[in-house]
Amino acid sequence: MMRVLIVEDERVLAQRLARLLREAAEDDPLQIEMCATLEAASARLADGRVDVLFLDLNLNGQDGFDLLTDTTASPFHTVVVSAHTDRALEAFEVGVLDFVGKPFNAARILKTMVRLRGARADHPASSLAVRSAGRIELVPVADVAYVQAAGSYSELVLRDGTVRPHSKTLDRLLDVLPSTFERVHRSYLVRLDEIAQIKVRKGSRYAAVLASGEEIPVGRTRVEALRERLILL
Amino acid sequence: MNVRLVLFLGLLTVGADCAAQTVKPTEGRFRAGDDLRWAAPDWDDRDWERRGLLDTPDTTAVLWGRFRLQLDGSTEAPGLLVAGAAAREVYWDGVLLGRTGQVGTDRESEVAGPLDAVFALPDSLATPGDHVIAIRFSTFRRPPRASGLLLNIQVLDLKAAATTLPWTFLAPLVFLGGFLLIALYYGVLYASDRTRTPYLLTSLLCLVVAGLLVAESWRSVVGYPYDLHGVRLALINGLTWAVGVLMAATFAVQFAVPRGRWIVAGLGLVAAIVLLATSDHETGTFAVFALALAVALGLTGRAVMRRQPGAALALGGVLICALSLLAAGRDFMEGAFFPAFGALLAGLLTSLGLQTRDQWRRHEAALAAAARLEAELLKKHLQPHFLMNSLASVIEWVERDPSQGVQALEALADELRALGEVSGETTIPMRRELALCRSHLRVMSFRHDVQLELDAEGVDPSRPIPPAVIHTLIENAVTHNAYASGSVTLTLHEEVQEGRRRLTLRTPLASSTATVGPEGGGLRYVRARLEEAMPGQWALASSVEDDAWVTRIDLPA
Repeated sequence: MMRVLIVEDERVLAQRLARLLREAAEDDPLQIEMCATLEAASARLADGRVDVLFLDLNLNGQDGFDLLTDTTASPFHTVVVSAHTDRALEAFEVGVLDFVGKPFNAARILKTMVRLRGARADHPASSLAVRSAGRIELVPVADVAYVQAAGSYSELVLRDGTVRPHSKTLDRLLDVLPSTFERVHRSYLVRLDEIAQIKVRKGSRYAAVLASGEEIPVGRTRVEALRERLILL
Repeated sequence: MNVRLVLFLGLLTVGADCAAQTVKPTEGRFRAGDDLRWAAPDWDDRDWERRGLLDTPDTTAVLWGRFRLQLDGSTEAPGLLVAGAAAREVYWDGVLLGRTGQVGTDRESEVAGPLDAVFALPDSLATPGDHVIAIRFSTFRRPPRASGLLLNIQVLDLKAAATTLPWTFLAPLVFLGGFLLIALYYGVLYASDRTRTPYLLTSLLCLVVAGLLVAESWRSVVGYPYDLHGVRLALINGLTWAVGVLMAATFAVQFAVPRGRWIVAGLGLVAAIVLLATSDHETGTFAVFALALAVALGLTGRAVMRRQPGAALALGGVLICALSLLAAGRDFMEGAFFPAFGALLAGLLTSLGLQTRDQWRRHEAALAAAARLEAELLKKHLQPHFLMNSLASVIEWVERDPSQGVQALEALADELRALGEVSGETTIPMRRELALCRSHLRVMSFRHDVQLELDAEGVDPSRPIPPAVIHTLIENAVTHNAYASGSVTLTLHEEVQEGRRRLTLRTPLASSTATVGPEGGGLRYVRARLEEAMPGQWALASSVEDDAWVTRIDLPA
């Protein structure tokens, strides 16, 4: 069951969003909670009981755009709901899954629901917000060579070999990363243009050799699709 | 030669540094009574009253005066100038040179002649050596408080004086033309903008100075019978008084001096007393000018200390004027006054020009600010945050309950219409402001699904308020408070006391954690609007009191 948190100070709009989300989810029940402020929502967000946050960026008259790097660095997905549609691209760049302009209708919310169920964001993130030592760092996506699953979170391995932990799961990162990132293994996302060649190892196991010389395991079921994409490159 | 012209030349030579010497007697001998033999050069006048040349006995009856002087023969075209407030017959060595008016034995038989007269001296009379001038006076028409019956007597060189003629006419005419033009110019400026009192005062000042110039020059340029001398002097006194008072008033108004009215009134009173109390005309006018210039120095000096625009220029003009008058002394009216006043005027006009430029710039800035405020108000409500959130809520109402949806849409239309109507005004009646606030609260009630009300009982609906001021405060309160309960009432209260008016807006706090600080754009807008409508006369303060955000606006009643 998808756990949704709506942070919106316009009560009627929060109610509307909840109603349209339920309609879009059809038989798949949603658990929806609503808060008027982000402070009121923070406890719920912190203990990881939220899959997706619908966030109004103008809460109580404040410009909440700075909050985005904080929420996108978190494990849950962030969907911005805002009247300021001119700032959508800016939001996508830091890794929000979707940007819903106000006013919105049922069709638009349905699209968001499709994205939540695995389709990629309209505009991929150009950088990923990473929380480290209490600070938020913006890591340019162009610097990321591949992403490795590490339990409930991920590790971004950069081209210079350094590693940044990210709170999102591999699946959620894939949702917001550009299509040049491909799932090659249960535990790996790789940037296609980093792959120098695909090697066959003992026991019909496959590995992608990166520009750096590093080898990444490739899942047997994924190797054909990967090869096709590489040819297209 | 035209007698008046000659006379004019004669007057000029009084102060002029002519190449030819001017010859005048040092004293006179006077005797009341009448005997034509007294004209004879060899009449024994040793028993006559001996007095200073111009210190004539104060009598109206027929009086004779005898004066002695010596010619050295160096004067090419000698003429005898006799000026005085009396009808007179002038004899040169017993020969009648001429008459001014008709000497009479009483008021009826006397005919008042010109104040000044010059008689050409034929060569047969103007021989080198000693000469006796005898003058028969009668002054039955001399007005009270007028100057002495004899004002000047001297031999002058008519030919030398003639060379300075064009200049002596030119100077007063140039100044007269200048003063009149400036008076006209500033009069027209004032007529086109009645708020510029300094323009009116400057125009009047120039007009009065032009009048003073005419009155001052009348004697030399046109001339008049001696019985009008007192009238002219009184006119000069009055005009001098007016110049002094207007000069001080102009500076007082131009530099917005507090209690300037009283300073000018005080100056007017003291100057009037000085003029009435001083028997001597020159001393009186000099004292009045000195007084007026001292006040003008004080007024412009204060403005300089306060760094008011144009103050230094005005002070400079006053200083130059004051110094030239001090240098010229009692006789300043004869020549120094008009150029000196020209300097003062130049300082005044340049400083007025600077002030006008500054005022124009401020005016432009105020216009721009008003346009900015109007745009800001309209923009705020066309901004996505307001408009799109409102529309999104309206859509929800339409889908949920169409009749409510229609009402929500109408409320939004009401607010936008009301905003459009008031945005360009500087102030609107409270009635319209309250209507605007209530339409906003209706929109917000639909958006938040809360009943928002404004209680404005006892607020005078007709008093003015800058547009959307209360509206903006309410908007802030509603935006910063996530009102959740079913009904919220905001209250607006008005108190009028001792010329001040206080508006108190109480907006309940939704919870203790509500963000209460409605600083930022909204409050900046409120301040700018208040300043535009009542510059410097308002105060705005807000605080938290008993679970409410309280904003107080103090305004002039």
